[in-house]
This record gives sequence, C-alpha cells and structure tokens, in this order.
Amino acid sequence: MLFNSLAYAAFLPVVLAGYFVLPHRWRTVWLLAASCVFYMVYKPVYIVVLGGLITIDYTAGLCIERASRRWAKCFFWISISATIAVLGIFKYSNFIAHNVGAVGGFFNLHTTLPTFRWALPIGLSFHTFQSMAYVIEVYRGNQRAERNPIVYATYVMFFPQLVAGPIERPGHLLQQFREIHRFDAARIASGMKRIAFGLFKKAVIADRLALFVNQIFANPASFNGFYLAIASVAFCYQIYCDFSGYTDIAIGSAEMLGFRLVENFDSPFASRSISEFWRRWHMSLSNWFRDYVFIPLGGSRTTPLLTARNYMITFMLAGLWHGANWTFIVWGALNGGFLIAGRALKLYRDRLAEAFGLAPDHPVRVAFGIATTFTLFCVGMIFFRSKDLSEAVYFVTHLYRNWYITPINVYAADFFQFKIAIAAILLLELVQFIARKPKLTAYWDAFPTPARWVPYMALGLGTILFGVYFAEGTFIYFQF
Amino acid sequence: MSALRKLALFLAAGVVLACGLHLVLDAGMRRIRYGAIGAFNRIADGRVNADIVITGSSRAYVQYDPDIIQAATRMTTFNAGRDGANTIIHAGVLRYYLSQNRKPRLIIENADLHSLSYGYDLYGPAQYTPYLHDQAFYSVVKRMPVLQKAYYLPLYGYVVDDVQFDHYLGLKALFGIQPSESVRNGFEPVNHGYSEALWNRWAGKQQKPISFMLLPYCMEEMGWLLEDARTRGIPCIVVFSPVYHRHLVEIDNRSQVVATLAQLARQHGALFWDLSDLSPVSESKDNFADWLHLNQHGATLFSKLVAQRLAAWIGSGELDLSR
Repeated sequence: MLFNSLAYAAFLPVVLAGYFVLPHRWRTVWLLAASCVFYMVYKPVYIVVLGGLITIDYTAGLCIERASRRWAKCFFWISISATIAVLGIFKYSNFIAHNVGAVGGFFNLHTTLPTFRWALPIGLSFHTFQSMAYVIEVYRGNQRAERNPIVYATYVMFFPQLVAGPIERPGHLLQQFREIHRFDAARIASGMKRIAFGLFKKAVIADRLALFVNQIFANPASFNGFYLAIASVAFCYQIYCDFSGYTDIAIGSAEMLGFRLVENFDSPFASRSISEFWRRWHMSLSNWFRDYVFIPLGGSRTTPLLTARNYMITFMLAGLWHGANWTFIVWGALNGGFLIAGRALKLYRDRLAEAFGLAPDHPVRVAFGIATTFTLFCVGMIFFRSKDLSEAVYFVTHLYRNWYITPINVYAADFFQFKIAIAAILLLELVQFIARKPKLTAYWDAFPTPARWVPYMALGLGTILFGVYFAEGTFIYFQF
Repeated sequence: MSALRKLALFLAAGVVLACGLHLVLDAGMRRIRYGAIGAFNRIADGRVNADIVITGSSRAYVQYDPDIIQAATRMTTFNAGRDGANTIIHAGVLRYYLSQNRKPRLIIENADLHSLSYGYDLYGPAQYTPYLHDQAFYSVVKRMPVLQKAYYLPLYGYVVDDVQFDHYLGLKALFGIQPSESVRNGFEPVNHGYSEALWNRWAGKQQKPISFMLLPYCMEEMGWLLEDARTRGIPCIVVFSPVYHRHLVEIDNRSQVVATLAQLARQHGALFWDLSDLSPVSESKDNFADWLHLNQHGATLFSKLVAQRLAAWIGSGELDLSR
C-alpha cells in the first residue's frame, strides 16, 4: 500500500481506531494483521518469503540465547546465511549470473548460471537488515531473545517502516510493543503534522521534480549540459524529498499509534563535509553499516591505510545494498573515496583556512563546505540514478558542455512546473532552517492556536492542489 | 479547549475549506471562454445548437474543421472532440450535448486504430470535474474510475493526473483572465509537421508485426454510443480518419479493426466511412503532425474531402436529416 494513496488514507484511521479500541493484549495481533494487509496489497505471495525469514530468525534468536557459545555461533551463522541467501537469491542472483557469464565470455568460457524472472519482494533489503540487527544483538548479548512470536513478527513487519525503514534496532522498537499506548489527541495531531509535511515533500517536490529528472536521465543525449546539471541537482532533491517524505509519513503514522521510530534524516544538505553528510543522510542505514560492518572491520582506530580500506568496503557494500548494478557499487566507491580524501586533506584544508583567517564557523568556510559537499553528492548521485555505467559516464562528461541557459522545459512538464518545484524547495529549506533553531520554534509554539492553524491548513491544501498525483506513483526506495 | 476538540475542529475546518475550494474551482472552470475547456463550456451552457456534431478523441479535435464542413453542407457544425478521450467520454460528451443543446441533424463519430483498444486512464480529468453533478453527463462517464472518485471526493478531480494545472486556469478565469481564443467551434489545428527523424524513431521502436487489440468492452461502448444516437433518431456516421500510409502498411490487423468498426456501425444503424488510406491526405508526411494526427494543412485537406462527401451524401437524400 502506498503512503500517498487514498487506500492508505482509509487504512490508517481504521488501524488507529482498532488499535485504541482493542484491549492491550490484542493490540500487537491487530498491528500484525494490519501489517500483513499493508504488505499483501503489493504482491500477496511474498508474505511467504517474509514469513520464512521471520520463522528462521525468531527460532535462531531463541536457540542462540539458550545454546552454548559454540552452538550459539553455529545458530548465528545459520540465521545470517539464510537471511543473506534469501536476499541474494531475490536481489543479486541475476546480477551474479550476468557478470559470471560476462567474465566467462571474456575468457571464451561458456559459463551460464540460471537467471530468474521473479521481482524483488518490496522492502526485502530493509526487512533483512532489521532481522539481522536482531540476531546480531541477541548473539552479542545486548538483547534478550523475544519469546512471543507475534511480538517478534510485528517488530520486523511493523507497517509504517516495513517497506523502506527506518531500519530499527530491537533495543529501540521491540520493547515498545509491550508499552501501553493511550489515545492522545495531541500526539495524533503531532503525527498528522509530520505526515502532512512528508506528503508535501513527496507530492509537491519529489514527484514534480521526477517529471524533469526521468525524462532527462532517460535520454541524456537529447539535452545540453545545463539541463544535465539541473537534472543531477534536481535528482538529489527528488530522492531526498521522496525518501525523507516517506520517513516523515512512517514516523508520523507510528507516532499516532504511540510508537517512536528513529530519525533517518537531519537536514543532510546543510552538511559541511562528506563524513558529516553520512551522519545526517539515511541515518538508520549508516548506523547499521557503522555498527555491523565498519567497526567489526576495525573502524577508524587503526592505520590510515586500513581505515581507508574499511571505509571503502563499507561504502561499496552500502552501494551494493541499494541495488544489483555496477552503478550502485561505483556510487558507493565514489562516496568512500570522497570520505577518505576528505579525511586525508582535512589538515591541509584547516591550514589553508587559517592562512586566510577563516575560523571553522566563519560563514565563508561554512558556505564553501556546504557547497562542496552538495556538489560531490550530486556527482555521486548521477551514478546512482543512471541505468548503466556508460550512461553515467556520458552524463558526467557532458555536464559542463554546451551550456545554453534557457527556462527548463521538457515534454512532461513546463517551466511553470519547475518554478513551483523551486518555490516548494525554498519553503522546505525555510521550514528546516526554523526547525533547527530552538528559539524560533519556541516563538512559533507561543502563537495562539488559530494563528498556527493557518499555515498548517495552507500546507494541507497546498499539498493537495500543487501535488503531482499519478495512479502509478511510488517511492524510489521501495525498489531496494 | 481539549486537544481532541481542537483536532476535530481542525479536521472539520479542513473539510469545509476543501469543499469550498472545490466549489470555487468549479465556478472558475465554468467561466473559461477559450481553448478546449471553453468549447466544453459552450456545450454546457447550451450555446452550440449545431446541425452537425463531431465527436471523438484528439484525432477529431485537431482534424475536423467545422467552418469548412459548414461552408460545404450549409449546416452549422461543431467539433466536440476531446483530447485524450476514449469512447466513454465521447458518449458522455454527446449525451451532455444533447441534454443542453438542440438535437443535431447528424453526428460524426471519429474512429481510428485505438478506438477498440483503450484503457480507463483519462487525460486531464479536471476539464470534466465541474460537470460531474450533471446527471446527463455523469450517468455515462461514471464508468471511468477517476471520474467516479472525483464525483465523491472534493478536489480529487482537480489534482489527480493534472500536470497541466487545468484548475489554475479556472482560478485565473475567476479573476477575469482569459487569453485569446485558439479554438474555432471546438477545432484546434496543430501547426507543426512530421519529420523523417520522427518516422524513423517510431519505426525503430516498434516490435513487428504491429497489431491493435479488439477489446470486447471497447466494442460494447462504441455500440452503446451508436445505439444512443439511433434511439434518439439522429443519423450517425463513423469515420475512420487518415493514417500516414507508411505506418498503415505496418499494421498487421488494420483490416480486422476496420471490419469490426464497420460491423458495429451496421449493427447500430450507422454509416461507416473508411478514410484511413484517403488519397491524397494519407500519402504525404506534410499533412501530418505525427503518424496519427493531421496537422493544419492535412486537416484542411481532409475536412474539404469529408465536406464534399457529406454534401454529396446529404444531396442524395439518402437519409432524413430533418430534426
């Protein structure tokens, strides 16, 4: 079920009503049933895949806790291998078969691995990472194994974050299913505000920018460098608004039920360096990779060379997590490279800034840091968005050629649409700026209720009127 | 005031505002006096009352010049073709036309290769939204899911699938902003031409053989439209309009589509003219804007040929065209 659909607008109130009407002992069952309905709207049969994974990881958790250290390790690896195998079969088997075939062909060997035509179950990457986090935490002794299969199943299938995160840790979410959540109108209102803001990002900005981005990326050879540059910047805002919009709706929906989900974004485009950027973008995934890949590899408390290796492995795996395509691996490698270079050059950058008398918080230095970080991110995202490496290379090598600055106009949307997107982005940045300033938010909260209603109402109606709504509209991160 | 009351009041205010805004947009859209929406408003206001009414999709909208047909037949003519419309919309527009205007003497329903193979998606639902509460129109078009939802949900019809911002035109009209008219009696010609590069792109994209589906529900809906005209005693001609001849030979089941349409027309008492390969219109790329739509030059040529045929046919006294 899509968050930006009429079906969800009907589904959420029904779930809320049922949840608060039912006695506490039935609420988790109700949430599990709702989550199954939510997931099965996409393709009902894939619930079997999730069911299989839930059974394996739930059982593994109990076995790991009860078994001796040696057997616990054995159960741990069985669980992790099974989870990765399911992800591998659905997501990476065709990619591996294709590349093995290509390498074999290079050496004149006819190696053909079987390929499959099945689609990737929606949200499988998110689900598997949340499951793995549970098993790892139980294995490390940081988390008690969940006895109640209903509670465990609901933890990994909780509908607000089932298909695109945030990726929750058991220590944060699991115990919340045991808490008694009473109906709280103020909390409902707060959740609704979050949902409205998420819909604004998704429908008004992301889906509008998609009209331009999709067409330019579909056929970059038809556009000049100016259009390519605009498309690469527009895609960064599109994916940010698409994914953070989804996250806002997820967090808002959970909040209405009384649950607290972790934040996934913290104004990432205000970051002054790539390392800061990755602490503020898709935080639940970044933290997952930090805790379960980067630190076990040795983290940054080792030699510079090994630290660089750890960064590179972590980022390339993060790239591969996004999709079975070389474009994602290169995207990960690029970001790893940016981060390594940023760390290596930090000393020289600081010295240079000092030579010009620029303190770390000097506006020029801040602006330069933000602009550089955003530009590097945009270049990386060209690989993320392109359908193959040759297209990405074409895009990058033509970014700076034939700049004819004209009003942005494509077949699917005209300049008026583009102007609306720009105005909406400016509004978004303004709201995010205010949200980062506690004094301003306190000032805003002191306004009388009717005065605060006006912008909320305007946001709601503006989203309805200026949103781009298509029957087939979906979220970018659903494919991962 | 408790938080629950505040919440309920806020939601109620939101619903009232949405409904109010919907009514404002309805009023604005109905005031538009130009373009395709302006033409539809003329139908809605009962200001057309033509002798000959042409219905169809974009092919009708850009190909039939009512002035040329009127000059040849001495019968007032109006083009009620709608861009991106399927047969359900043609039927709805016709039914609405008949409820608001004097009964025409003749209906021309334009047909083409897509006539029996369309889906239920709709281009620009906003242009129809202000009229959904008119039962003559809604009783027919409610078969389109998007319009059915638009009937019940405020603002839905104005925002879904509306990247053209039709509702914005309505707001402008409400403040008296009306650009100059580009549509003459419902006809809006296309001025650009068709190039060899476009033809090559089309030919390169197609998986051959190209065939068009003959979907039972599309046949049923075409039959319904023709039967509606027959029931009301209005003669009807189904005209299969020209297709660029190099495309036409690529279509595997053209004869099957034509035969099915001819049979449908016969079955429901309508006349069928197959002008898909009409010489000299379909022979030259210069007459086309793309492979399926004539440009202004082609539309003039085609309208003249249709007008001559009509004049000859009317002159023969074959059918009673009195109201």
